[in-house]
Amino acid sequence: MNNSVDQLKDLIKNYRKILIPSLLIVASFFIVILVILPQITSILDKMREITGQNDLIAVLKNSQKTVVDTPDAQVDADFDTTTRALPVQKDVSFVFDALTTAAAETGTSLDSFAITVGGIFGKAAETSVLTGNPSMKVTAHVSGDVDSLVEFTKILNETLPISEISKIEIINGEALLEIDFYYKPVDSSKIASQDTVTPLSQADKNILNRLKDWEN
Amino acid sequence: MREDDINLVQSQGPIKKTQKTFMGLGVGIFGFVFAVGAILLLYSLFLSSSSVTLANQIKDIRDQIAENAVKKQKMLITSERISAVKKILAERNGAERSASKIYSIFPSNFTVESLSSDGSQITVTVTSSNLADFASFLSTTVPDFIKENKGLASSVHIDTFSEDGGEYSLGLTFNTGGAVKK
Repeated sequence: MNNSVDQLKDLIKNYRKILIPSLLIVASFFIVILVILPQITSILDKMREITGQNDLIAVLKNSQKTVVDTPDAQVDADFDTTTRALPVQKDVSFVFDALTTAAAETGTSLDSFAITVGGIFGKAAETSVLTGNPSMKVTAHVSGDVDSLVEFTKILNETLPISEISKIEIINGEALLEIDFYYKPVDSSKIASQDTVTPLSQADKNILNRLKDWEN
Repeated sequence: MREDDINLVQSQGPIKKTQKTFMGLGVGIFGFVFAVGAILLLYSLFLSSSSVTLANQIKDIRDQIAENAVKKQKMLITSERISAVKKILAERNGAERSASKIYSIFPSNFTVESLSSDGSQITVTVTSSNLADFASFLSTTVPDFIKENKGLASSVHIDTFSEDGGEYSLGLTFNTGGAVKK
């Protein structure tokens, strides 16, 4: 045993000048594999993360500025107008208001209206309602002279909530109208997770002003 | 030493030089790699610390925005609804607009008996006791209307024309193709 240890010591002593640099090169190799390469990957990840964080900070600061700078009264008024244009749910009273307003303004008579209630229920239906622009189908019977009935359709199209007349049938002073009244539920989870609040563009303001005109 | 003797003792000079070079190379490589590793490690730590600082900054701004959470929510809902309204208005078939426009071309001495629109075509039935009015309407008014409103009606078909007790009746179909947008 002692003999073999001595032999090993001799071997190390004799080859020390080759062994030490060899070990250093092997150690360097391991440092490259175990430290340098993982660090390079980690640094690249962190740089990407920091870039993302800086971008997010810029977005958040802009959002914060937009939220703080916009007057509360304007926010409330705009919110009311847009939720009036697209109610958060199927609301029969809004439909009734729109039809009676159009009838009153055109001197026609709203004889009856019916709402097609129904649709599929479940998660899929819920998702499609949240992502799309759902509508409530209404059939209205209105009577009056043809001039007034045509005017009725024009007025209704410029009345809130937003609607689309899909079918008009006017015969002998009686009109049968098929109307889609749009609504839009609030997707709370999407809204809550959203960070970006941008000021309204000029095009948005134009739409908003148009809705306000239709509201009055 | 005779001429045919061989010197078996090798010169130690070149071996020592090679060993020294090898040692220098080993130490040099190790030193360089160690230095690079250390620098990368320190830089990585610096980036981690920066990332933590930025994360705290994000949290602070979010907290400040949260103070106006209701206002932010209303603004987001408003924006979302304006986008939806824009889309709906762009895609509306404009049935009432085309019906109204087509209705307006009929002279006042015509009586519009029926008017129906399904978004792609508008059918109108009018009556009048004056036959000459129909001639003028069909030869001038309708072609002019088509020429001036190419986007509104691509073609007009005469469906019916009849006479009953001196009262003439004309049935027309205007093909709008549902292309009218508001």
